[in-house]
Amino acid sequence: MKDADIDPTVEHEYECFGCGNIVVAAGAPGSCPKCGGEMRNRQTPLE
Amino acid sequence: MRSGSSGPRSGTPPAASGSDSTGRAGHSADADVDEPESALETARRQLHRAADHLDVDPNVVTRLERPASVHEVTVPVERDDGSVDVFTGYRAQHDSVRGPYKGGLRYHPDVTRDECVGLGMWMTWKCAVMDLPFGGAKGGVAVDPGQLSDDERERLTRRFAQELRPVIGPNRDIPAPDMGTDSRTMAWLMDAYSMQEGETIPGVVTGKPPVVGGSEGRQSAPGRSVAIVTELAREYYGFDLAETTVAVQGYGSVGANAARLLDERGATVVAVSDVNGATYDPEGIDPHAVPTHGEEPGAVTEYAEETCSNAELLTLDVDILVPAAVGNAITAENADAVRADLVVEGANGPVTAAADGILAERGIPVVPDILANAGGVTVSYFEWLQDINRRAWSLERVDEELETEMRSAWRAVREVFDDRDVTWRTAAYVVALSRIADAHEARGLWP
Repeated sequence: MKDADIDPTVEHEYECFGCGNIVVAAGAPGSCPKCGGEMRNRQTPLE
Repeated sequence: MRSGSSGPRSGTPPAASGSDSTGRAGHSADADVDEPESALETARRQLHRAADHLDVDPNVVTRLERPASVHEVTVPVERDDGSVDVFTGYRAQHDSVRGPYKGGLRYHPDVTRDECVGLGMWMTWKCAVMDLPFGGAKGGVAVDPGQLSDDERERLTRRFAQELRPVIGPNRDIPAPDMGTDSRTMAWLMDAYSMQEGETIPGVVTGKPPVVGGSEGRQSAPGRSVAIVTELAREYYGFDLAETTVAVQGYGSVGANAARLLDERGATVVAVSDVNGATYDPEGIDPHAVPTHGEEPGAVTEYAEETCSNAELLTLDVDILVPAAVGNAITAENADAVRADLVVEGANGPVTAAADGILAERGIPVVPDILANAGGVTVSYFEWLQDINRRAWSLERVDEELETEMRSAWRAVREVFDDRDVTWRTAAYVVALSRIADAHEARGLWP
C-alpha cells in the first residue's frame, strides 16, 4: 500500500504490464522496448 | 455543497487518514500535528472508529483486532558467487470470513511482521468496502531487491513460494505484486506453485503477465476508479459538469488515467503535475495531449506557458482536487491553504490524519483512497475470476465491470454517509466493518 517516494536522481526498475520485461532507468522509459506495452515503476503497489 | 454534511459528528474525532494504509509511519487522527503511528496501530484504530458507529458484537471486534495467522519463514538463497544468504519472509493472514485472503507480496528491507499484519488488516477493509469475496493479507521478504541479480531474485521467489505453498492457493490466499515485486515475480511464483502441485494453477496469484493469465485493464484500473468515483462525487454535490474544474497532482499511471477519463466525461482539467512541477491553464488543458511522466519525463511542465509548483497546485481554486502522487501530500502545514471544494484521494494516503481533521472542520469533504483507488484490487478480482473460469475477458468487459463495481460501492458508502452524518472515510470503514461483522455473526465461532 505504500507509495514510492520519488527521487528523480535514483534509478528504478520498471516492469512491462504486457510481457514482464524489466528496464532499469533513472527516468521512466515510457513504453516497453520489447513489446510496446505499458510500464510501471516496480516500487508502486497494485492493490 | 451540502452544508455540514461532511464534518465529523459532534464529539467524534476526525476520521482516520488513509495515510495509515501506506505502510510507512502513519499518523494519529487525534493529534493536532502529524505524529508517527505504525500500520498496525492505525489499522486497529480504524477498526474501533468504525465499530463505534455500529452495533457490532464486541467479540467480533476482538477477533478482528488480531490476524488469523502470521507465517514467518526462512528463505535461504544461493548467491551467484556460490555463497548462501538467509532472508526472513512473512505472510500475515488477517481475516477470511468473506473469502480467500488477498494482498500483495513486497520485497523491501523494511518488511516486518507487524507491518504485514497492519497492511493485511487494511486489505480486509478494502476488499469488504468493494464487496469483493476476499479477506485481507499481506506478506513479503525483508530484502533489498536492488542487491539481487535477476537469477538470485528468481531463486528467492521460487523458494519463498515453496515455503508459503501450504498456506496459499486460489481458494486460500492469493498474493499479488507490491513494492519491489512485479508481474514477472508473480509468474515465477505461479510456476513454482504449479510445478509442485502438478497442475497449472494461474489463480494462485494475480498481477501476472496476460500471457499466463493476467488481466487486461490492470494498468489503468486505479486511475479509472478514481475518475468514476470523482464523477459520482461531482454528481452528489451538484457541481455542474460543464463548469467543474479539476486539478490532478501526480501524472503517473493513476493521475493521468484519471485526468483523461474525467476529461472524456466532460470535466475541465485545469492543472496536472509530475515530479518536476505543474502546468496550469484556467481555461482547461487536454490531458490526452500531455504525455505522462512515464511516457515523456518533464513533458508536463512543457505543455503550457503557465506553470506552478506541486505545492501551489494543491492550493488552486478548483472544484475538485485529486492528489494522486505520493502519500502525505496534504498535511497540517498546507491543509488550511486548500481551496478546492472536494478532495478525492487518488494515491494511498495523500491526506494525513491531521490534515483530514482540518479539512473536515473546514467543510471540505475527502473521498478516501480505500474507495477511490480500489480499482486495482477489483481488477485483481476480475483476473482471479478469469483464471478459475479459464476464460479471458476483453478490455471493454473489464472496464464495464469495473464501472459497475465502483458504482455499487459508492452507493453503499453514500447511504452510510447520508444516514450517519460521518465523513466519507468513516462511512467507507463502516460499510466494510458491517459486511465483515455480518459474515462473522452469520457463520458463528467454530467449533
